[in-house]
Amino acid sequence: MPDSKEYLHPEAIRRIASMELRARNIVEGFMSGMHRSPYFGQSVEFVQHRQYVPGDDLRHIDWKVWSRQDKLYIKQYEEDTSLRCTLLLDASESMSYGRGALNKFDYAATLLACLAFLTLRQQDAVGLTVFDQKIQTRLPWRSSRSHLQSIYKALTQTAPKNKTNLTQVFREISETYPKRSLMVLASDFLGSEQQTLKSLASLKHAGHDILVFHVLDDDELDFPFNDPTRFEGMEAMSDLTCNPRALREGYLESLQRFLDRVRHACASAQIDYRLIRTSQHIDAALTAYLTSRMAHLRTR
Amino acid sequence: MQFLFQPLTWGFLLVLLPLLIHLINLVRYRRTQWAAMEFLLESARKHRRWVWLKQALLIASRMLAVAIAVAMLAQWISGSKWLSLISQTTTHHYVILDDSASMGDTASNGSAYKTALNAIQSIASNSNVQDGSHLLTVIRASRAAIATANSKESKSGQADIGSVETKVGAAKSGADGATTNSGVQPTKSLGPQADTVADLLSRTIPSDPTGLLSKLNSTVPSFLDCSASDAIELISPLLQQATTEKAIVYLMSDFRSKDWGNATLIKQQLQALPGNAIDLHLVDCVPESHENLTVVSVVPQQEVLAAGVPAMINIAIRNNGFAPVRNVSVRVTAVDYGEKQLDPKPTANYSGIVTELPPLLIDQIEPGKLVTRHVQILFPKSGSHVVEAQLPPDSLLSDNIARCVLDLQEGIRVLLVDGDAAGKHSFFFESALNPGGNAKTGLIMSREGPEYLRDADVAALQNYACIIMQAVPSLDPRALSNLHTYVSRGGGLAVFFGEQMSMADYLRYNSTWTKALSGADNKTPLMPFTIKGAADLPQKPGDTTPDLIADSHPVFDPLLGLSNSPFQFVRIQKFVELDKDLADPIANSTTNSDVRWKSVASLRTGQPLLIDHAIGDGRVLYGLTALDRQWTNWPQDPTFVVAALKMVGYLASFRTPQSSRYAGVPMRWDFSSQEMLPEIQAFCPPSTGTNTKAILNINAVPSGESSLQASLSAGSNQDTDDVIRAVMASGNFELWGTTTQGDRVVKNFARNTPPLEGELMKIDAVDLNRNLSGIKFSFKAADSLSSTTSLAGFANRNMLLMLLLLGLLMFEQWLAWSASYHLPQKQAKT
Repeated sequence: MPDSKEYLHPEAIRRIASMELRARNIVEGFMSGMHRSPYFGQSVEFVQHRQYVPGDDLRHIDWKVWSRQDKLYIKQYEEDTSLRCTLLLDASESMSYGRGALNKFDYAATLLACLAFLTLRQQDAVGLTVFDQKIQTRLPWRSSRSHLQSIYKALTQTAPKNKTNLTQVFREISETYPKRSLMVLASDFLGSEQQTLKSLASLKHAGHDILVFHVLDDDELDFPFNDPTRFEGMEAMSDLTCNPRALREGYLESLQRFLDRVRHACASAQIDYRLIRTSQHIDAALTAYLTSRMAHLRTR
Repeated sequence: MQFLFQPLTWGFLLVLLPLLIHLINLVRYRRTQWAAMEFLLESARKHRRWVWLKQALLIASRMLAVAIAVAMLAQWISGSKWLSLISQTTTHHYVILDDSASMGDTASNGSAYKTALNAIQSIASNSNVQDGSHLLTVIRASRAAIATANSKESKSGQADIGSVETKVGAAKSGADGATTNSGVQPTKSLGPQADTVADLLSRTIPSDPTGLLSKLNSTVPSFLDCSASDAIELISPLLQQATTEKAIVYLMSDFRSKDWGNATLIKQQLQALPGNAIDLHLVDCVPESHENLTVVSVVPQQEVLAAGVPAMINIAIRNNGFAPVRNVSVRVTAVDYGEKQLDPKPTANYSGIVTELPPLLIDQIEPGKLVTRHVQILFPKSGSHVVEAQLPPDSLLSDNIARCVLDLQEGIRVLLVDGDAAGKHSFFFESALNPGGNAKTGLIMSREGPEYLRDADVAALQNYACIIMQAVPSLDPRALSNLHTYVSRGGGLAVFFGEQMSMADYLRYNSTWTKALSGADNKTPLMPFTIKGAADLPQKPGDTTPDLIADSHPVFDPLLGLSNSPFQFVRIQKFVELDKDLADPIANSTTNSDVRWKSVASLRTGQPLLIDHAIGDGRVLYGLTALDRQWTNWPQDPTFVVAALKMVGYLASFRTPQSSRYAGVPMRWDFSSQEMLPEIQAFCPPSTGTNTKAILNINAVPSGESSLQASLSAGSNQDTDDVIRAVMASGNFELWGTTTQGDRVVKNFARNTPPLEGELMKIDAVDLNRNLSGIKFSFKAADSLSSTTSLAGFANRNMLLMLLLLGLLMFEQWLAWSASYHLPQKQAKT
């Protein structure tokens, strides 16, 4: 039996063309790895009993049944579907960079597809907004399973292009999703960094819980170039011909300062921040999502 | 900047390679779309200058590394003292090999010369384990001396045999009276080129130097007395030209006191050697001094020698040791070449009839002393005979034997020119020179009138060994010219005045004899003084001073040294008085070198009686009296006979070939082209250890209207080493010619080892240091050269250069790392 983690590797994900299959494989693989039921959560409406299996949360054991029958059963409840999750995908040109199995956009799209799948499985409502300097695709919150196909389609058909302008985009988002929700943003934050962070902070003030997946390629984080290279700037940036090894140290310093600023700004605004490498297993992102979802439900 | 392997210097073009690669890389970049451009641009803005600087340093270091590698391969030769630490240097070993006769000393194991050759072998072998390239130049002192002598001779244009002997250093003062009589000073001229003299010139020492040195190892010591000065003079230009080389000069010699006791010239030459970086090694090839006997000379005692007249041969032996030597036996051999049917014998020492004479026994010879013994030898027939004296073998063989050649004729022809037609003035000379009976003087008299001097040509006069002129009142200008030419060419003339000569005759002498003859090469007048007239010698009763007072001169030498003057019964009444102003040659000369005449006998009053005057190669003796009873009774005195014979011998000696010369002196045979064919065969002495003579063919060249000259000398550029060795040998050279009648004629030339070479006393290191004070040198034994260990492992300059290159490459790597040209270790693994 293959290890379920294998399905989380970007290289394995890349081989699956269908976004739907990708999401299902990833989520099911991820959840089975957690040894807990993926389908039932904490809710108020009782549904049924089920015999305890190792790995089940001990808090859900029905001790009264145990006292009567001397058998361990757990109580299963109907999931609360009042959670609204808004998925925000940066489709600017810079997201198209990537030399690994998945470029940043593909990685982020896959990640959001997984989150949509996971969310809809739990009867939550999911909305999707794909944007660059303006909103390209906008899908409202829905909790029906059929909505998933719309999300997959929107993620698949969108191609990254144009510059980023999150200020304008987030203003529209605030208007589009007036109710409190869990907003999951997947972006590389390249472009107007300061404005983006301000916009995020304003969203937070509007009552949204925000989870940021800062998706960067390995090349961008490690800058492994050796040979003389002409770097052609995306999003209308100027070009530079150089010996990359000579500039590597300065580049990494500059990048680190950027990451520190982003991380610091998110922390200041109480925004969950995850730096994701495109070579990284996608489960880390899913775990971060579930943690945020739990926190969102508790604070609601 | 020089390189040993010049073609490899093209490799310096590779220096451009790093720059080229850099430029190509700048052009051949890859393209990539990049999202995080703002960080890259920020880095580029921040590090632009620093990156450029590091890149430039990196390229420069790589170019330098390539340059060093190429320089290492091309064997960079640097003249700079400091750069030589890292550059490849060429070490040039200059070996001056003393091959004078004393180097044949076999007192230690093998000869000193062989020790020197072994030392050269050691130098060549040791150089192979040392760093860098090594060149070897070897110059033998004898070859340098010959070349220098020939060069100076050709420059000065004075083909004087005696001067050559002087130049090769052979004519050092010694007991041999037959040495040069020329006072010609060597002229300063450009010396010969080393490439025509050196045995090895700037030859690269191969890994196996045996082949390189094989020819040199086959050489043997010469028979010359030659110092190292000529060789030093030869290498001096080489040292001046080779500024990029490290020069090591080895002077290999036996360091005898005779050569190094007064080494002023060599000291000056060594001090004048260019460059401060010359290492000078004086290599001693003989461990210590030791005893030695030398045949200093074998010379005939009398000047006048003729066939059938007993010849007294003086044989001088010197003890050059530290202790008396007893019972020395000298083997004397007479070789008679008088037989008409002689043929050359290529495998025998002599082609003549060898007669072993009873050996001379010398009871004792004190150290440093010379003992002379006489041997009487009679050669009944004319010919070129040889007398040889030989000592028993000792450590130095070449000085144990000497010989002389007696070119005997049937008689010595003397021309008497008498002013009196009846010849009455010649009576006393005729009586003295040819007494008749059994007393044979070997002189053949001819008496002629003054007109003969006018009518005869110079060639006819030259058949006479000397001319004695008496009471000739006047001479025709042509006769004067003939006489002047005759004397200039080595003839001897004696002039006596007569009682019948008037004041007008003396004035005629003054007007004609005292002037330089027009057209003559030699401008010295026949008579260097003017005559005042005949005068009476004042008589002083009671004065015991002899009327004739003789000075030391070959004419009077046999008569001097007695307790009483042999001339005490000689009375002189009248004499020819000289003009006072010109009577004193010293007072009338600007420098002493101008004085070519002197008074050799004087009157009681101090006025000159016999004057010796040099003209060219010859001499004129003026007897300032008349050999007449009214003027003097000297002709009737027994001393006159001795003086007359010695006078003839003296006057004849200037054209008489010397009985022996030192080895290396050129040989010249003049003969009539009407009597002999020009083809001459020279049979040189056999080499040491062999019996076979080297045979050289000579074509005689014209030297006059009817005369030919056959010369045998060494040193021309065309001469092979074998020819030079044969001609420079010590021994008897037989020159065989053929008369126009078909008869074989032989002319012998004796060439002996200079006796000074037998003085084997060595100079000690302290004296040598004192004599060469101010010169930096090392004095070491030849054996120590072979045991010299090389510090190749430590002094490997290539290794040093390699380390430098390594250091530079490490710097380059650090610079590249510093310039972020290397991936971090973690990233490199991924």
